[in-house]
Amino acid sequence: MSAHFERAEILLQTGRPADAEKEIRTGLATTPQQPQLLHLLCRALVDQQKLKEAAVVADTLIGVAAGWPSAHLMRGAIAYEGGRHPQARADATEALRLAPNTVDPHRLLGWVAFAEGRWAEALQEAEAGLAVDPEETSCGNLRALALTRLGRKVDSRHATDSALRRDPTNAFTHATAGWIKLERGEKTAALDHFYEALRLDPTNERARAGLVEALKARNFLYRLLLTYSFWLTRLTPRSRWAVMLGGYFGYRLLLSFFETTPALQPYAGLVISLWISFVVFSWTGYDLFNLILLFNRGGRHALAARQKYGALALAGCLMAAAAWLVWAYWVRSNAALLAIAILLFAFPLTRVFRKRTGWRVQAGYLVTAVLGVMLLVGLTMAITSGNMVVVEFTLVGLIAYTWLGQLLNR
Amino acid sequence: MSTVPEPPEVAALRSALAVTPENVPLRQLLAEALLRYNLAAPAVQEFREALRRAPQNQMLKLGLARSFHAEGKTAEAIVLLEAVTAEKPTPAAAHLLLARFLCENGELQRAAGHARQARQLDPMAHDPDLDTRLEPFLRPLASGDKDPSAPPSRAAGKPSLPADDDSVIDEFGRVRAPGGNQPGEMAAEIERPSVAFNDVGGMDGVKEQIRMKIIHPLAHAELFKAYGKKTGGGVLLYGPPGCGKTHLARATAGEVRAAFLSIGLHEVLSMWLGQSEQNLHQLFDQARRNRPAVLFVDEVDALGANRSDLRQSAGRNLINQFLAEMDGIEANNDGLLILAATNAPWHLDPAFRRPGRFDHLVFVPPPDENARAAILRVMLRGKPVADVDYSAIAHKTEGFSGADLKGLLDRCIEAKLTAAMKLGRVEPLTTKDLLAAAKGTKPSTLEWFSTAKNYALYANQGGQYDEVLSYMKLKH
Repeated sequence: MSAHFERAEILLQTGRPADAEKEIRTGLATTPQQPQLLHLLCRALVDQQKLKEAAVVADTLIGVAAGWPSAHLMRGAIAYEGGRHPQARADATEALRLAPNTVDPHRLLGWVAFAEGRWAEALQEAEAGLAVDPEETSCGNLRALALTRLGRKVDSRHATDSALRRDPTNAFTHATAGWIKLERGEKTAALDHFYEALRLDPTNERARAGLVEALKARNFLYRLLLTYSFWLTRLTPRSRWAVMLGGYFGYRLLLSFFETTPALQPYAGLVISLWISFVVFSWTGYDLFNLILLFNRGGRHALAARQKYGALALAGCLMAAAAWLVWAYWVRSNAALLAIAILLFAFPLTRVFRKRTGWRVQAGYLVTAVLGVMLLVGLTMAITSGNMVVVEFTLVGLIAYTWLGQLLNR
Repeated sequence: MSTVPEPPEVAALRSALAVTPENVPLRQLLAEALLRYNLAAPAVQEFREALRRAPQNQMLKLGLARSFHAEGKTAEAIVLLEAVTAEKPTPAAAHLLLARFLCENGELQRAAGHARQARQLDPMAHDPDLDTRLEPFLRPLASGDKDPSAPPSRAAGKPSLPADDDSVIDEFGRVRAPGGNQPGEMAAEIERPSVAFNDVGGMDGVKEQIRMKIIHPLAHAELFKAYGKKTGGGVLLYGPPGCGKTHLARATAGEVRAAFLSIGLHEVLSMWLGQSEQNLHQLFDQARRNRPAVLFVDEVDALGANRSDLRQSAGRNLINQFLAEMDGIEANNDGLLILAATNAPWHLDPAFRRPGRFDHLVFVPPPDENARAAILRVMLRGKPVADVDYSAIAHKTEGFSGADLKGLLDRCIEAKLTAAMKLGRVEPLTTKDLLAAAKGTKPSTLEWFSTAKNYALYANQGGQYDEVLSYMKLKH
């Protein structure tokens, strides 16, 4: 193998993907279709998060080495990182066809299934991978996660312990154990695992995100929200819609019962308040507690930039709503309506800072921009002429967002 | 780990060969395919089998040599290629391949000889990468040029230096002291830097740390010896790229008037590939022969990667050798200072930071405001300027490394040149021009700090990254 390949491999192993890329490209200048160099280039580009470029190189690699299982696995892994699950699945399946008794295709298929919420299939693939290589760390972790999602608590506990025993110095294993324990409500143990994962690999994003959630879970209210979120995650998309619709119609039914039963009429307001609090909290709780975490030394440093911006966006909406209430208290009587609109605008605004892929990115920006413009126009009209029509339309749009936004924020 | 079956291309060639086992070109194709897929051992087997049938085939011999090299048996590859180049006629590719392997093995002079012969046989036979490495040896000698392979000689016009009279000042003002090498050894160029700490703007804290650790022990060696303290040791400079670590290392050598030997990333990687623990030993020996000496290893994380991260045992052997050399197990390291620089100290094997090795970490931060103003003054020296407010520009370039400031200046000059060409006259650089160039430019150090922050927060149990925390104002 060429000196360029060997040097690039060493550079990749020592965490220098940019230098490795230069070395590989020098080698490719003389042997442009060398499969090993192309494969290594994909690795170097993925390490630098240049996924689009890596995908192009992976296509070239397949073109010159279509019969090489590693080529398909590389393209599949790149597709998985980019959220293109059908491509990832197709490549992993082809790799499995070319090399039936290997662990890597099962691993990739398993993680794709897990990302798509197909827990049983993820478990099946993890176990198929472990049948080939019982020591394979990623499959071990995937198995533990899938068991947790399937509600098999005892098996999940054994699988987690087993993965940790196998490799106690693996950051990924500790991060996975942390998330599993967080899902089980064991927040202190989860924190320990996240700190250990970060000690082993301070750049581990899963561990960092887990640490943030575990720190927030020290609050009882957020723990409730987290339990609810984990429960929703375990449901299929259809079941989630059923829960939302069922919850809404259940609320309407309960409200009408309270309103029509004289003894319970005084408590109808309580039902409304509880429902609205639940809706608002489910939409803003994540960013609200990120905002609280900004005032905590350890938490502040653990928050990612996106999370900080989302928290500050929420803070902006809260302060704007409060400022409007104070100002309008002396001037206008329709203060509440506009304050509610400003507050509800936090829903789409904070979502702009969440990680999305594909069409959801542009769609999210567009929806937020439209609602934002409507709110500004409504605010201006309310101040200048007292006309609240646009504000009312904006409110309808924002309430509709709480339903249609489910599509954008999957 | 499961074994991956041979690629279908290889399997198809094997099937075809099974039908016609005497088909030498087909066997050659199979061997080349095996080599492409990094299956070196089977490739060796196939080339040998083909040579059994066609013993005079030079292309098969070259293929076998490449397979030996892929297996890590560079010495065998070299022996084979030497035999091929002794045959007549010799293909240029044989000389070129031999040059490449000799270069990796550290035998630069011999490598240059074969590279020249390859070009003589075929003007198109050259490797740009190899040419760059062998440039001093390939350059035709003009009168007055020193042949790098020539033995040391007295040179006229030498400055008077206490350490070594066989010195030459090169065109960059660096004082070079040739010699101290045995013929045929892998050798680093020995310099005697004329820069000192006065030539390094700012970094007062860092300079003071180096004075305490390196300079005072050397200046008062007898005092330290009286207390049983050895002079020398290792200092690891770490920090974002482009902030002057290499310049500081050179200035340290200049400050103590020591010989300066520098190993860069390229040499380190070559040692890896050639499995040249012997070369590493020779480098340390060269430094010891020229003490007091500063041996500077740039980008040491490429050499000192965490051994648990490495797959090849060859790499681990090289690291073990480096650690043994630092410990001075088989040789006395008194008077030998090992300075190393890295952008990623967290990638270093923990054994490197053991007491007696790189137990002193020095964080080299981006230049502070005063240092940035000083750097800009030096960079703008000799250029057309008009009332430049260096303090204002330094204030606006918080976090910029020296390299960032150079980049900023280059962009500013390019913009000014465009304007000057339109006007047909030289236009001076102004504060406004520089501020405009700085606007919207982010320092390259940001990325380093975002990674360093994670290590400083979560992997700082020994306090080795406390300086980073303090710099980033994160210390509790």
